[in-house]
Amino acid sequence: MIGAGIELPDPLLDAEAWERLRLVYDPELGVNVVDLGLVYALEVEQGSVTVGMTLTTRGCPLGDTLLQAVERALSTIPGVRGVAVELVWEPPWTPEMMTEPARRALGRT
Amino acid sequence: MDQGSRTIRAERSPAPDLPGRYLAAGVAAFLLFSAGVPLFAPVLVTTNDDPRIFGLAHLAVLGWITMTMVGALYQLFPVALRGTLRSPRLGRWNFWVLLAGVGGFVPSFLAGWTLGVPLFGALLVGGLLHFASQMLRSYRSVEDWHPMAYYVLAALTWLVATIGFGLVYALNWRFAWFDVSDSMLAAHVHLGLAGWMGLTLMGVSYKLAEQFSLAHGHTRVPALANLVLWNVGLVGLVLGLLLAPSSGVPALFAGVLAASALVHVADLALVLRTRRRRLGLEQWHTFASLAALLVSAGLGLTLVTGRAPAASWAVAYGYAALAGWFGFAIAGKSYKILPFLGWMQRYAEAAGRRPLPLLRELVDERLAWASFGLLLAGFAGVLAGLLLGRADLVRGAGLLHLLGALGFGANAARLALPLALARTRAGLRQVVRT
Repeated sequence: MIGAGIELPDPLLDAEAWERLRLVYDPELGVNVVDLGLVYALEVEQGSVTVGMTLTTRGCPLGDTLLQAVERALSTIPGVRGVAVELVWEPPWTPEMMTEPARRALGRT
Repeated sequence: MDQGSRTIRAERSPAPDLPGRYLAAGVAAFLLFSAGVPLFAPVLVTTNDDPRIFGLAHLAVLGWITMTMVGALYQLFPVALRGTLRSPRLGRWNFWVLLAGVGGFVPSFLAGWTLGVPLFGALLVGGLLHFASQMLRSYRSVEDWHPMAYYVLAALTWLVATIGFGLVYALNWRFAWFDVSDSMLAAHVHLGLAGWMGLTLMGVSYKLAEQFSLAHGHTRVPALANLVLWNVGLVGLVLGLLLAPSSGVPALFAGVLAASALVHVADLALVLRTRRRRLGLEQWHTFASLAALLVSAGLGLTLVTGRAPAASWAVAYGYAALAGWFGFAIAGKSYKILPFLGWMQRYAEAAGRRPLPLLRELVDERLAWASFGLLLAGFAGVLAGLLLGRADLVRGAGLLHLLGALGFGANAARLALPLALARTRAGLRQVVRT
């Protein structure tokens, strides 16, 4: 993980952002939002990070918390000037969007 | 990324003390109910027409199940249905009205105090009408019309009807305006049991089962069709009991309700089947609950067709529904809802900043499994004792059930009490799109 006081170029910010997102997990399922397949897109442009993500269901009780957790996790990356987290519903999430480790953890292999 | 996107919106969850206080009160009432069963064992196997039975039944229905459902709906309405509660502040005040109502109503029955029943009943009527009114007026803000929304809407309507009947009977117990027949009482019972409580439980079960099983793609048609079938059965049963109790009408519509119960069990089982992980606490409690529903439905049909050999079979029917269908369902869902609320209260602000425990780590799972085993064994034993007319069996098994309830209570209290005492507010958090 990158330490404080170091400003990164966008490509490295991008990599660091994905790494930080892997630390944000659904406390009910015990799987991070990347392996769950919830993160559809991540764009870094001159230090501004925009994430497009979804939730497993509409009305997910942890929805707002996960969105805010993502925003917090990315905001603490040195060099990040701003974070926008956009919740999208298209395409609708399905369990098939999970990675292999996530499917194994949830018994879906 | 612009298709139907939005930024983080304001926190929808109410402050945890609102649902927490109701859930904590529900746990306490559950413990008292579990203690009451072995205590009143000789009465329970002898008759179904005793004020002590009415008191115990209302402790379960009002103190335990209704308080729990009110608390759960205060949480689920804004989060699961994405509606806006009209006044959480009044919901906090209403808790004290309901608590005072239950606190006086149940002892009045137990002591045979005929004035106390309508007196405290009036508090309950006011409190429950206020709750129902608040919820119904909040419905225009609902954004997610999941089947649960329709089930709860119907349930709230039946709650109002149940309250009306209850108040009239309570006043009549004092002033003796008319004779209350068994079928008139049965109408009131089923308005509450199958109407308010049954529909709320079924609707919430559908929502939570889909969520926890990641059951995407499961058709909602059976749930919606069954909602109609259940209500047809309930309307027919209640009208039959009131207007033509000696005819075949009550039995016919009891059969419709029983068939609807079967459909619900089958449909929910299909939803749960999509969960591929090892079945957990909540799923096993749900299986026990659904099995008890089927037992209860069978006993109901036996009673309505006049085939029950003893009055204690009516008590067994009520017990199977209250301690079985509702009891296991509430306990199982509590192992999800309470850790969720506790996690939100303690850790939500830190999410994304540091590693945090999982929800299941907030529950003492060994204690929870032991509690489940004791509750199940106790429930089965009490039911058998009621059907056989054996007070000793009811008392012994009732004590087992009480032990299980205490185990559940220990887990639940650890989570529910801090919520009930919480003074923090969720607040509004908005992130403006940059």
